[in-house]
Amino acid sequence: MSNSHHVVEITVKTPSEVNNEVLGWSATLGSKYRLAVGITGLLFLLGIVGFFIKVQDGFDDYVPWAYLTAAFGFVMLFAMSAPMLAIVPRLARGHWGRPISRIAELWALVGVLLLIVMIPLLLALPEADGRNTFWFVDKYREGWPPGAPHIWLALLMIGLVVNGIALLWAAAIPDFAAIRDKNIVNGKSANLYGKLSLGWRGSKRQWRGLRASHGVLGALYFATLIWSHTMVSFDFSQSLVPGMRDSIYPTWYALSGLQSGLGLVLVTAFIARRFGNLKDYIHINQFWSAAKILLALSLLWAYFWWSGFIIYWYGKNETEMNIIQLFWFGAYRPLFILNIVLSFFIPFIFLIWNRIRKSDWGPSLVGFVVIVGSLVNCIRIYTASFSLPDGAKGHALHHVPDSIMKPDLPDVLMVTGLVSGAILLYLIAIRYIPIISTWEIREGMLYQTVRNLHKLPLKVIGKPD
Amino acid sequence: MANKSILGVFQEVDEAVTAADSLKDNGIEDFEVLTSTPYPEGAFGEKPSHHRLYVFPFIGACLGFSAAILITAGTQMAYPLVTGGKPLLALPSMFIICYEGTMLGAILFTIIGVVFESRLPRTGKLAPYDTRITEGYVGIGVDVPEDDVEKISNIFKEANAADVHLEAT
Repeated sequence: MSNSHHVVEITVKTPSEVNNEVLGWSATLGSKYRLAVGITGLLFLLGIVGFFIKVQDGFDDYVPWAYLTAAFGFVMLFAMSAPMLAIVPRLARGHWGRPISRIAELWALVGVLLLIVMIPLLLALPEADGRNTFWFVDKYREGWPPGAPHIWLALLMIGLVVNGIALLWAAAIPDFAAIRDKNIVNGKSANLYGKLSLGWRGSKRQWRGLRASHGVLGALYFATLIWSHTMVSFDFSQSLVPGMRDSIYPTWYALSGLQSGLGLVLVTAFIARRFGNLKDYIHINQFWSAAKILLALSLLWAYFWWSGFIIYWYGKNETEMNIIQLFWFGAYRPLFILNIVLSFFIPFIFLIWNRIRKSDWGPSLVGFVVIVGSLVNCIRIYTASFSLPDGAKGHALHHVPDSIMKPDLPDVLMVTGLVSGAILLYLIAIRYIPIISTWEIREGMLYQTVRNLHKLPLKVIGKPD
Repeated sequence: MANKSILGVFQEVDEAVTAADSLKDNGIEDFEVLTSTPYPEGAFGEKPSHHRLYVFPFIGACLGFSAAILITAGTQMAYPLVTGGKPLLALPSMFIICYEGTMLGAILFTIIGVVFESRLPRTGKLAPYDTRITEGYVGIGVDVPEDDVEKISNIFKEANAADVHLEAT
C-alpha cells in the first residue's frame, strides 16, 4: 500500500484479531515493563520518605513546600490535560484520534494521586483573607467566602478527578465487557470486569448513551480543567506575589497544560508503538496530526506569554519592575531562558518541518522536550512565588530575592517521587485496562478503506454524521 | 400471552441485515441490534430512536447551581451583617462557588444519565446474550408472543444464523 511519495496506513483486522491482540496485550508485558514498575515504585517510595522528612518542617510556613507544589503543578499540568486528546478528536469526529484516545484518557487516573498530594499543600497554603485572590475574600462581605481557598479548591479538584475517571470508565465499558466475555481472566478479576461493564450487551441504546456521554463528559471536563488550572495558578502562585495582577497568567498557564498534556500523549504513544509492538494500531498519522496541534499550541504559548509580559514591561512601576526581575530577568533568568527554549523555540524550529511532523520520533521528541519545559516552568513560577516570605499579605513587591530557591534532598525526592508515582499509576493501569480502545478501532475499520487513484493509493474515510 | 425474547446470532453483518429485513417483511419493526462496535443509525434498517442524556447534565447543573445559591446566599442572608457599607451578598465570590456547584452537579448527573440511558446495570430478567458478540458477531433480538417463537427462529435460521438463543424460562 505504498509508493515513493507516501504511505497509506490503515488497520485491517477482524474484530476477533483486535480483541486477541489488544486484550491480551497486557500479558505480553515483559521484563522491561517490570523494570519500569520497579524503578518508578522505588522512586515513589523514596518520595514518600522525602515527604515525611519534610513534614518535620510543619505546615505553618508554606515556603518549605515550594518544590512539592511545583511537582504537583507539573503533574497536574501534563496528566490532567492529557485526556483532552481523547476528547477533542471525538467531539470533532477526527478519526485519527481513535488509536490514542485510551492512551490519553488513562492519565486521568493520576488525579487520585494528585488529590492525596493536595492535602498537605492545602494545609500549608495561607488563607485567602488579606491577599489578592480570585475568591474576593472580605472584598464584598466581611468573612466571605469562608474556607477560601482550601475547601473550594479541593471541591474543584474532586470534580475534575471524578469527571476524568467517569470519562475513562464510560469509554472503557465495552472493553471491560469484551474481557468479561473472552474469559481471559478468572476468579475475582472476572467478577470485577463483570461489575465494571454493568452487564453491557452492545445494544443500540447502550451505544447511543455511550456516545452521548463522551460529548457531555468531554465538554464538562474541558470547562472544569481550564478552571482548575486557573485556580491552582492563582492560589499557589499569583496570589502569593504581592501586587501581581495578571489576567493573562492563568490562561497562559492553562495553555501550558494543554501543550504538555499533548506532549505526554505523544511520548506515551511512541513508547507503546515502538516498545509495545502496537505499530498495527498506532500509525504515523496519529503523530502527524497531533504534531500540527502541538505546533499551534507552542505558538500560542509564546503569544500568551508575550501578551502578559508586555504589560509589565510598559507598566514599569516599582512592583511591575520587580515582578519582571522575579520571574524573568533576575535570579530566575537561566530557568526562564531554558523554559522558553524548551516550550517554544525547539517545538517551533522542529515542527515547522513536515518531514519531522510526519514521523513518530519527531513529534514525540518534541513532546518530551515540551514536558521538560513544563517542569522547568513549574519550578520557576512556583518557587519564585513561594520565595517571598510574608509575601501573601503584602500589596506591593518591594524586594526580590537575589538567588533562586535551591531544593534540598527531601525536595528532590518528593519531585522525582511524585512524577514517578504518576508514571507508576499509569503502568499499573495499563496492566488492567486495555491501552487501545478496541471498539473505537473496530468502528474506525468500518469507515476506512484504501482506494487507488490511478497509481496513487488513497485513504477513503466515510463520515456517517 | 407472555412474550419471549429470542436472539439470533450472525457471523456476518450482511446475514444480520437479511434477518432484519425478513423481520420487517413479517411485520416486526421493533427489534434490538447487538454489536461489538457502534454502527451508524439505520445501518440495519432499524427504527431510529432518540436518547435523553442531555437532559441529565441540565438537571444536574440546575440542582448544583441551586444548591450553591442556597449555601452561599442562604448563609449570608441568615446572618445579615452589614459591615462598612458593603453589600449583603458577596456576588463575585458567590459566582465562583456557583460555577463549581453547577459543574459538579452536571458531572454527577451525567454519570447517572449514562447508566440510566444505557439501561445499566442489567438486573432482573436477563435477555438472551452471546459472548461472541464482542468478537464481532451481530445479534438481532426480538420480543414476540410464545406462539411466534418458532416462526422467528426459522427466519433467523434462513438468514444463516450461527445460533438462536431463547430466553431462559
